[in-house]
Amino acid sequence: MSANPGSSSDEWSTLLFRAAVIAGMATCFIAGWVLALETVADGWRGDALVWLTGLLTLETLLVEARRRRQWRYFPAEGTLAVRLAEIAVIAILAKASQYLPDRWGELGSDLQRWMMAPESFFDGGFWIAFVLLILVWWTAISTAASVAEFEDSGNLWSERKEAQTTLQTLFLLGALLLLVATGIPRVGISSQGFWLRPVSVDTLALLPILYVGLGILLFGQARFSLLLSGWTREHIPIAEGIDRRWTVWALVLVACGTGLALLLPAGTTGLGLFLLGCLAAAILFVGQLLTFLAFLVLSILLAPFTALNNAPASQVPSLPTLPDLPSPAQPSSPEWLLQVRLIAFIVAAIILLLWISRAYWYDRRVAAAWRVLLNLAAAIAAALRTLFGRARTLVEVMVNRREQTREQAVERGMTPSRSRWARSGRREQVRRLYLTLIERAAKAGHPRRPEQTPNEYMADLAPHLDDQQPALTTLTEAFLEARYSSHEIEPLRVAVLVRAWQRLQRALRRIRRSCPPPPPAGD
Amino acid sequence: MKVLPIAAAAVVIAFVTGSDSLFYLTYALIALYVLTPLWTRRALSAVHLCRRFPTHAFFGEQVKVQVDIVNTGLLPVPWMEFHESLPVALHAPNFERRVVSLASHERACVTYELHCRRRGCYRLGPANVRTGDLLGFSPDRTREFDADPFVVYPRIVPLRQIEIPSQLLFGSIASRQTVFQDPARFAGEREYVPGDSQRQIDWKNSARLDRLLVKRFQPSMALQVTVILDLNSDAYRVQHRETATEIGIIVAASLAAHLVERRQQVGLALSGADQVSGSVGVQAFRPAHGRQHLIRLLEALARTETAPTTPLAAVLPHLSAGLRWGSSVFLIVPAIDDALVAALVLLRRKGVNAMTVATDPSVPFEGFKAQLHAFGVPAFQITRVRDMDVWR
Repeated sequence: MSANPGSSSDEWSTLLFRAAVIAGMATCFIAGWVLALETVADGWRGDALVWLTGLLTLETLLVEARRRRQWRYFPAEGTLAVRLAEIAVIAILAKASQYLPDRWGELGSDLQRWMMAPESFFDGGFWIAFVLLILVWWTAISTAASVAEFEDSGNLWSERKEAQTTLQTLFLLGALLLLVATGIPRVGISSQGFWLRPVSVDTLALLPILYVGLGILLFGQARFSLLLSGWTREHIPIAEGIDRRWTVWALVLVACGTGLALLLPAGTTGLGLFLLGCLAAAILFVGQLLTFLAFLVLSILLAPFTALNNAPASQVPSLPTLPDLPSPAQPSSPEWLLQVRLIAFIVAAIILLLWISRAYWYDRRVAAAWRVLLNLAAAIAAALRTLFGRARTLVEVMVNRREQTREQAVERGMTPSRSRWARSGRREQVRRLYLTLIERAAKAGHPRRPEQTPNEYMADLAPHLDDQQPALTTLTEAFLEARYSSHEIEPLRVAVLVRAWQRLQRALRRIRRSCPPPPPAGD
Repeated sequence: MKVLPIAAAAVVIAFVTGSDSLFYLTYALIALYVLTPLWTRRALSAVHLCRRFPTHAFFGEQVKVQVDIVNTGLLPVPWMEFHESLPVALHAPNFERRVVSLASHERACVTYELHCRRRGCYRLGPANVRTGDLLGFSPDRTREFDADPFVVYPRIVPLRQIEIPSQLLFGSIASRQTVFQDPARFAGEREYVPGDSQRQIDWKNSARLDRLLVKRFQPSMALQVTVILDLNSDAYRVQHRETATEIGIIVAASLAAHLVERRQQVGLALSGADQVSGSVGVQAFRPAHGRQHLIRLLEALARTETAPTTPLAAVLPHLSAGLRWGSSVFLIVPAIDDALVAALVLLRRKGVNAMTVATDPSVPFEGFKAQLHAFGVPAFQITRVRDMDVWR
């Protein structure tokens, strides 16, 4: 538990998440309109405009958030100049979007054209891109400002309510315009009038869902800000990481809701049409009935006026036609004047670009937008460092444990590969040595009968082992001690037993080689 | 945000246009609109709350209370505002608030401390929790969890110098009254002098030493004390009722603790009201010894409060009916009056030793003290804790 709502990294992650949500909504919106306009305006392409909008909105929102924090207690100076610079940069980006990604070759000839005729810079494609960018840029700023209004615990309820209304209006307006945009490519125009083309689940169908999903996430963030400001104002301690959880769970909820919706039948399927057809039929029936009644009442009320207006129409005088205007004379300027005009244009353009650059970058430097990116990079680096650190620690622990096991095994005179042996206890090790000995002896033709005790078996086996009888005695006694005593067995003794067992094993191998294996039972 | 009207409009437009996106949009909105309240309801019903704390505490202690909020369900609780109501005498401010977030099967601990600055029977809680969905689609939901009782025992002042008269023989407290010698407490032998009882002659040692020796025993006595505390609100003056009551309870608790520590029997009679049961009248505990008995008495003292009841002088003969000859009565009253003096004289004549403590500083005391002293009834005026130093 902590009295602070969240740490600095959490704060930045929340900020980044909100900016990404708004930028995503803006991208959805612009993508819808780009697709619509590409259908309507032949030859115009706006692929680059879509991702350019996303990046521009993201950058603007991060800068705005930083600026809002910095200028919380101080008036913003030079805001108009900064806004003008930003608009100019947007204009340049709008123009650049026409050349992305594969029309850079035409830029040289176009530059010459702009010098000769500056008005050619502002062509139809530019205005479409510029208007879209400006619209989305300004809407994103307003949206972010509305969300930020919730965060300020000093705001009045009416101010928050106003922010909420603004947010709702912007969201609904955006959704409506996006729906209009998604509807435009479906409208077909022929000599018989308008008609709707059949549609399927494509990008256009998914864009509104994505937009609304992101919008709902944004409303969730607004709600969190509202609650957080209330808790902060009342000095209620807040659990750490609540903002991170909020974000994750909201994402899960919206993803579940949207996923569930996509599983259901849509308008082109039978079930959806049947259910909604019934509803529409009822609505149409009621509508037709109401329309009929309205016309009936209207006809009855207007009947006296219709009778009065049956008089013949008066003669309407025809309007005089205007004479044709003379065509404007072609300007006849000297060559040096054209050169001066060109130089003046270049100088003016350079000065304008310098001013824009200065105003734009100076503001970014003051607002320390780059710190946002640095913080983000630092957070990612820290996360990666932590991840790598944990992985390295894990690997080191595993390696150390393996080496330790190997050293212990070597100390006990065993090969490193016998890890299971190393893990077992000393009592178990003695037992396993003895059981292996019995097994090997059985293979060598001297099995132990079930009724034999270890000592009896030792007496039976000893005559066959030549000079290894002491080793057998040692191992048998150690087994009896390990099996029936409770005291600790020393590690050194296990090492001695291993050597004895190795000698016995060699002796048994010799016996096995010298004696042929017993014949199968069936023979 | 009005989700349903938007969804309804989207349905109509979806049908008119046949747009898939609008159908999906409608489904998504309806799904979220239905899922979020269900989530909130299910998640809240799976939340359980448990307080961990000692249910009884002594005066001056600091008690740590741990409230475990457990989510036993599968659905997480995104946010939950916890509000615990607390007695202002123990915790300032009189609530504890926290905002927690609970994942599935997660436990959140809210810890706070109670400062036992005043005796009494309190209730920790009720605790209210408020939660809601992540998107604001449904109104917030609240749930209340029951309160738990908590008892703070009255303050106990160690008494070492207090002397309570008793005429009961053969107890466990050494006495200065040599006439009461306990044959179980052998203290040595001395030469026989004429007049000594023949029953006290140690015949074996006398025969061995060829001179008469008599046994000596240590004098002792037993105390059986009944503490009577008057909490009749009519007997107290309004301006001193609070302090005088508390002082009386402190004296009663200290005396009971002192006597139980000396392995004596102590009883208690309270003429007031019980905070928990609400009963008004005389509440009596028969004399007994042992720590459990002391805890019972302390709990009764913790729960008691003033109430209008019958004057003590009227019920005193009733209370003293079961007292043994030679036992003691410790009377704690706000003020001494003539009726009480008369009742005490009657008690004294019945062979019951009495001591009186007056706790109200604003009433005349010295005259009654002299009057009672003449009858062999010691009287004290204890109006502050510091006044108990005479017994420490």
